[in-house]
Amino acid sequence: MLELIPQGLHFDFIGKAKLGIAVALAVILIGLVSIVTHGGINLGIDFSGGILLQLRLSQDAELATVREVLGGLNLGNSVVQHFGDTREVLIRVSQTAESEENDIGSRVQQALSERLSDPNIELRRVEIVGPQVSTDLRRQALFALFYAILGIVIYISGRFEAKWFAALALAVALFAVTYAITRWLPGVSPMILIIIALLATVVFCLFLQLRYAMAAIVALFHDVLITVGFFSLFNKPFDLPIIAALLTIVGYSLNDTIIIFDRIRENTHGQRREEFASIVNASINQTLSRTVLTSGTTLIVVLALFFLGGEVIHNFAFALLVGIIVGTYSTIFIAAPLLVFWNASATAQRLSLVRPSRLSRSQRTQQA
Amino acid sequence: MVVIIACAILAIPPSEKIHLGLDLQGGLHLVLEVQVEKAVERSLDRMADLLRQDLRARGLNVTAVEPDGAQGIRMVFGKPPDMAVVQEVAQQYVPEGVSQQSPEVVTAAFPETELRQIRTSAVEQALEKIRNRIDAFGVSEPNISRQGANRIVVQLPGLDDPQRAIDLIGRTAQLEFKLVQSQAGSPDAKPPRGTELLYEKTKDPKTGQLVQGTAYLVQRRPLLTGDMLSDARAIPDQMNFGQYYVLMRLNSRGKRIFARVTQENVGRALAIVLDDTIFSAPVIQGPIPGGEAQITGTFTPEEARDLAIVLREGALPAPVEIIENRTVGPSLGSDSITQGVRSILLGGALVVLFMIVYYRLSGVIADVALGLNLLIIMGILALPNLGASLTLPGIAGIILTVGMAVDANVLIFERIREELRLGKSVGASVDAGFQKAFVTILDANVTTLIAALVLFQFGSGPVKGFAVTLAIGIAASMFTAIFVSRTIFETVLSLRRVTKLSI
Repeated sequence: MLELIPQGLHFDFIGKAKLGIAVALAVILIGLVSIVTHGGINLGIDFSGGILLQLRLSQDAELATVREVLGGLNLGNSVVQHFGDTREVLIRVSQTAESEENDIGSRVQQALSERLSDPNIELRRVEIVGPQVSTDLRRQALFALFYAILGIVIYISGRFEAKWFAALALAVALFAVTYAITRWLPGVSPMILIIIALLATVVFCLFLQLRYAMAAIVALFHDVLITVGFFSLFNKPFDLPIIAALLTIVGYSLNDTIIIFDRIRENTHGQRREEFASIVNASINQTLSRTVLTSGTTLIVVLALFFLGGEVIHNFAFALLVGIIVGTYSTIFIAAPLLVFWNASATAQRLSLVRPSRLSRSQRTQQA
Repeated sequence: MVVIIACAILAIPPSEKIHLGLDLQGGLHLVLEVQVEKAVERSLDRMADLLRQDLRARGLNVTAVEPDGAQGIRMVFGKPPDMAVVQEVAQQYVPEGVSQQSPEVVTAAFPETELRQIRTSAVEQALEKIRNRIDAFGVSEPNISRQGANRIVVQLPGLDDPQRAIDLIGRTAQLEFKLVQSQAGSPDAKPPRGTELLYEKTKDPKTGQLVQGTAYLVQRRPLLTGDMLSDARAIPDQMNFGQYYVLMRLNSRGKRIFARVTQENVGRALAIVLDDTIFSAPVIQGPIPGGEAQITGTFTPEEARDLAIVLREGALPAPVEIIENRTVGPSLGSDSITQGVRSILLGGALVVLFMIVYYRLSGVIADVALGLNLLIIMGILALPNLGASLTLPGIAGIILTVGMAVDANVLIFERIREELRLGKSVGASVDAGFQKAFVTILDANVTTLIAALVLFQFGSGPVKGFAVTLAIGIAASMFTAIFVSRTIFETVLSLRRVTKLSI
């Protein structure tokens, strides 16, 4: 029997959890710093509006020449880069005179073929996104992220703690909050709205004692933040398909989390007496091969997509790649330990009221 | 079994049965916004004209009738009018809201319901006209639909010349015949009341680009409009080989007006104006009773044909603005397919190999389940009534499914191994493995399914294609991993006594 993870492995994940969380925070911080120094998230044309042209020349494209030709066309701000190979160029224009936008592709094509005396320049892709559309897409994308996380929180709370009622209350409360904000502060940007809503979710989870949901959602924040941070670090444009990738990550990263949570639940039923921390730790160890294998097979195919899928899908594959790795990490080092920490502090509070004599023991748990 | 056979029948051959999205087969995706406020403005203008005529016919001394902002009409009289008569006339157009602002000024406000009606019908008419234009242009499988309050989505697969289609769709095609007052002296001077400054556009013979030509002062009010046409056709020019002109035939009302206008204005120039641009301004040589007119402008055959289409199908009730345009060339689409298929093959091969190496014979069973899973995805995508199409992110969704589909089997097999380690028999371990892993698999997949469903809300386009394949793939993987592989396990175990499981 081939085994990736040796039987009876007993690694003290919970003991290393603080280090793990520190590493995660550091990576998130690097990402945030990168976003700030880049002056915000690098939005692609789906979300910022603008023009994207992809052309293929018959010989290698000199970017300087292409820039020169574009300069002659008076297009405004444009960015030129190779795309895939050196014969192919990608041109992104942020602003133009509105009236002449729609034939911009053929105009650039014509100007380039005259300048380079290359009659076979192929216009492979034109994307023009107006400001109305990009604003809509931005809002839709943020709400999609929000609804996905909300749906997942409700499902986990209901499923893991049989707290369908609390989960429903959470949903109602959140809708009330978002409705109230949009009602009384109509000008508020969706970004701020979503952040408020997500913070409210965490607060409600704390308040309603939805431990599993809380741990899962914090892990999800972690995954999304790090993926977005990586996009900023590598200066990749954030587009509609990336939102699809993020939502997939949110859904998929939970697979591992659920496997461990399921095992924790199973183990707590069996051995009521044992310390919660060691149950969680044992659960992580028991399911480790599963966690690694399931993420591993998915990682294999995403790598295939990343290397062979072509330029158009490259950033999408990159997001999935980062997200799957980070999601597996967060399952082990964020979600599971959070359960332990919360449990420890809750027990400490309860015990300090009832039986102060056992306080020292639960404190030990916390440090273990 | 039935499901699998059905899917196999549906999906073979895949190249014919599966509908490809625009990003894979190449094509044009446009989102147009109908400028509904222009439609409101236009119908207010029209109504003001009619109202003026009616008021004059009743003998009222009316000096001006004009739109009042975007919701009403303002009437100015030379002397305080008889309000009863004004009420009576105005009521035909504006049912209520007629009020006297001062002795000489009366306003009539349109109710919001009426304005909304104008906006809605403008969008509906625009949709209809665009559909007719595209039909006349000849595109196979166009998809034209309304989105939201005043947007129209046009999807045209596989075009040779997308720019031509964009021009055809986006053109308002408001045709007007206007009398020329004079050639404009200085273009900066404010045109006198009742006239406007329009430019003639001529084609540069070298570049083929339209350039701005002579400026004319023309009468604001058109003598004839495009809705008086009965036909328009592209005709080859006998004098200039290879060039075309567009011949227009007027309907009976247009014919009458045209005959009268040409008779009364011999020697003056009549401008043929399309979307506020003068195409030509020929001098009227004599009365034209036959009701035929032509637009010449050194057109190529395609340009003349497209112009004839828009004139024949009629003007859009309001201008449209192209707010989103995504065009993918056919070569990029086919490259994407090749690369996508290659990724699926390599990724799939690696996963298949890994499963066999790691789980041996059981891995083979998982691989069979994986193959069936792919077949089911193809089958469902090929369902004719679903209207699903395969996009590039959709291919990515299939690739992801390949990686995720074996997850369920991994969970089951790990569980079986665990049970075996506890010393249970092969049969009992397999049973327990499937049973205990089931809940976990369900929970784990539901969350991804929730994410896929949320992605569905992105109305159309590639992202929706991703959501479709991901959702189908996850559902299919639960089915194949749990039912199909379990059936295979149980069949094998029942056929012969297995004491040691190859897992």
